[in-house]
Amino acid sequence: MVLMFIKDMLNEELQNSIQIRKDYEQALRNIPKGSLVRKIIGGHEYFYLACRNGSKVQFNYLGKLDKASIDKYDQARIYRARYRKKLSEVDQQIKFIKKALNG
Amino acid sequence: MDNAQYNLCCEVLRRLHREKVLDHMVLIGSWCLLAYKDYFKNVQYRPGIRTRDIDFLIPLPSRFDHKVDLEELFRDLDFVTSFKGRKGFMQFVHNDLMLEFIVPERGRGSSNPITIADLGINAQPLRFMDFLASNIVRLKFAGLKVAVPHPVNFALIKALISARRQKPVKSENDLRQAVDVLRALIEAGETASIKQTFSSCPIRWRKSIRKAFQNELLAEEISKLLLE
Repeated sequence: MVLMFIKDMLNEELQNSIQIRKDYEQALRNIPKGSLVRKIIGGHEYFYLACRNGSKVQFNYLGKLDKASIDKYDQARIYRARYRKKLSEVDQQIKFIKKALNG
Repeated sequence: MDNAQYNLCCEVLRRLHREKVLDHMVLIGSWCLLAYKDYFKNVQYRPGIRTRDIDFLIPLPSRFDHKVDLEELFRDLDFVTSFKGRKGFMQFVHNDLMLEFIVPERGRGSSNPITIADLGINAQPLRFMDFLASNIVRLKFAGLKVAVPHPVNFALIKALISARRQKPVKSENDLRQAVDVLRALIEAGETASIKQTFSSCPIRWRKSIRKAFQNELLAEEISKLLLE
C-alpha cells in the first residue's frame, strides 16, 4: 500500500508539473515580446524594440520613452528570463518524476 | 528541492503576515501537519509526506479590513496565476509550491468560485471547512504564529473525508494522517478533547468516522475510544 501511495503521489505531482509547465508557458506568452534597445542620436535618447522574426531581428522604432515605459520593458525582460529558467526546472522535475515512475 | 520548498513556504507566510492578512487565514491540508510539530513538542510525532499544494482556508465572512493584491505580492517570487478546472478556481503556482484558497461551503452548496475581492482572488468552496475553522490553534511556524485547525478537528475531518474518497490509496493516506495525529493526541493526554469534539459531530459524521477507523487494523485503540 505504501508503494501504491508513493506511486499515486508521484503521478499527482507529475500532473501538477505538467500543469505548472503550461502555466509558465502562458505567463511567457503574456509578456510583451522584444528587448528595448537604446540609441543616442544627436545627443537625444531614442528607443527601439528588438524582436526576433524567424531568423531575422527586427528593430521597431518606439521613439522617446518615459521612465515608466522603460521600467515596463525592463521588467518584461527580467520576468521572461526568470520564467524561462522556471520552465527548464519544471522540465527537469518532469523528467525526474517520469524516471521514478517508470524505473 | 525540499529545502527550497520549505523556504518558499516560509516566505509566502512572512509576506502574508507583513500584509496583515495571515491572521485571517487558516493553514489547512498536509502542510499543517508540519505546524503540528510545535503542538506535539513533547510527544513522538512525525509529519507525513507533503504535496506541493498549500491550502489556505478563509473563514466566512472574511475579515480583511484592507485590500492586498496577492498576485502582485507573490509575483517576484515567480508565482504565476493559474485557473484550475472548468470552474476556474484561482491558484498561484510555482514549480515548488501551489497556493490554493478555500472557503467553507454552506447550505446546499455551490461549486462556483467565491470572490474574495479584498485579496483579488477567488476561492473554492468545500464541505466540512466550518468544522476546521471552528476550533483553531495558533502554532509557531516559520517564526510566525500561524492559525491551523486544532489537531482533533483535523484528524476527525481526515477520517470523515477518507470514507468519501474514490481512490483507495487516497483514502488510506487520509486515514493514516488521522491515525498519526490522534495517536500523538492520545500520547499528549488529550483523550477527553478527542471524545468531546467527536461527540459534538453530527450523528452521520460520527458513524462515518467510526466506520473508517473500524476498517483500520492499526487503529484499534482509536476505534475503542470513539465507541466508549
